[in-house]
Amino acid sequence: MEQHFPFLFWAYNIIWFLICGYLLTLGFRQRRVEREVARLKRTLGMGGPA
Amino acid sequence: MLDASRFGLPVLTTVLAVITLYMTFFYAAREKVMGDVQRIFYFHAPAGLICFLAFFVTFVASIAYLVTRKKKWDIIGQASTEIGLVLTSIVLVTGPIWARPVWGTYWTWEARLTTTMILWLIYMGYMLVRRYTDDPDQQARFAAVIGVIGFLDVPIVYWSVSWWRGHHPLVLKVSGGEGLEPTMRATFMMGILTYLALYACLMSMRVPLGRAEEDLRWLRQRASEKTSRKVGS
Amino acid sequence: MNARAPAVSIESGAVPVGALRALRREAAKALLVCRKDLAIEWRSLDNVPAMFFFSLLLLVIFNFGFDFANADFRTLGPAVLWVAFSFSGVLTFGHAFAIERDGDCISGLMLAPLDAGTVYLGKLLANSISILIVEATLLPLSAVLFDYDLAAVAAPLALVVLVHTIGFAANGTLFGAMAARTRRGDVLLPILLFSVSVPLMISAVKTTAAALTGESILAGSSGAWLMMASIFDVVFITAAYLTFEFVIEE
Repeated sequence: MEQHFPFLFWAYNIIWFLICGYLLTLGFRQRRVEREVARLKRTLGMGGPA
Repeated sequence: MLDASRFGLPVLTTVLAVITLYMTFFYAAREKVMGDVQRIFYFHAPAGLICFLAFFVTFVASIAYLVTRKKKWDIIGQASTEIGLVLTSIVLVTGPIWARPVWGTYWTWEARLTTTMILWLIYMGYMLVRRYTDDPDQQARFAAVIGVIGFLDVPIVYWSVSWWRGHHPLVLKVSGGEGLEPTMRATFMMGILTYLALYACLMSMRVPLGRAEEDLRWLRQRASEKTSRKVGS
Repeated sequence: MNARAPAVSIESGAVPVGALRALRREAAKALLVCRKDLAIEWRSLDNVPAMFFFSLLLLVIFNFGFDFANADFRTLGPAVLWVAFSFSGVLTFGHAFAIERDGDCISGLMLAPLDAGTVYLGKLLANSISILIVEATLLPLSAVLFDYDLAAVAAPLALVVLVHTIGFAANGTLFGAMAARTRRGDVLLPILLFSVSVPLMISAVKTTAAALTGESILAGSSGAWLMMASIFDVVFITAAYLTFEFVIEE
């Protein structure tokens, strides 16, 4: 495993970057939505939708 | 954070990924012509197959939404498209990285990769339509129409791009796994299973997010109604 | 007066008379929508002249890039022609629904006893005719500008242009309706339309090149492309016909 190792290395790792990047964005969006939902529930002073 | 109780799919995906990794680097035979760089195939080609599955799910969900108007189908369609785009991006990035050492150039307008690029553009159109449509109901409907039209286009795009390229077969006989030596085929199959598990895992995270965003929209609407009622009284 | 013919003919196995009559009615309604759009265009001349000049301009600009004075137009020309036709076609699809925004005509259209699919077919026809008019004027002009014999290849070229224009308009009409209701619809329309129409563009260039060089367009690879384009037309007109109601509803 030798010539062309950099290509193999980068191909493999870029996949991880893409997947982890996507998971991170999902995480951020989830947190933001949860914060907003909590804030709105407080404003509405209710238990929120089922 | 992300629902911590659902560890099944992430664990399964991780296990499969580790197995596939081992098989990719230690089990699969070394390809005669390209050498070890050919091993990129095991994380490139399965991504292509599963991204196709993701867009098929979008297709079905889009039709289901247009027929039933149930929001859950819209959420599934949107989730599947996003994940499909991630997988398509993987194909589009690993393809050129593989092509460079093998054919000396990053992009050869080869039929499969070109089709994937057009697929990426079509489904980016799906995401753009969602972004640029203000009314949520319209957003869902327009996206569903694109989900249907886009998928119908896929085989036609593939045929036309293949003919355009003059039916040249790929250097390595890829795709269905026919013509692959047994260890290679086994590794390829494991790759498919791993990406399938990854897709299911990502869907299991993305769909609840979609539902939460829908709840948020509902709450916002209630809040604005409440404000306008207060103002009115 | 005339009782409603039953939708299904019980006696004969032939095509039900009621269904044929309904089909003729729907076709007449579609033609009505088409005539309305063309009448608006004829009176205002808002669209076709603009499309023509835009296409002409594109041809002229491409000429500077490729120098058709010295190069054979029939090799690179097809691509240039179809870029010109498709870019100006995009203008039509946006315009077709912009005219409905004035005076909220779209509500009038929806209140009329018209199927959404019928409206689609009418608009498709009107858009196709608009683009065909531009193509019919531009092609002779390009024959003059770039010195090739159009008369010899007129018939096959006409068929090629007809098939591909209808296919392009099939999706263009649907996406045009969608884009009219979105922000940045002017940008969204070409993005959606060109990515979906790639097969049609490839086919258009290939068959036009064959037609211009005098090869038979019905045989060999051109025949296959033409067949694919026809399939494209049928598939997407059907799909758009079925989904148009979801795009146009309020």
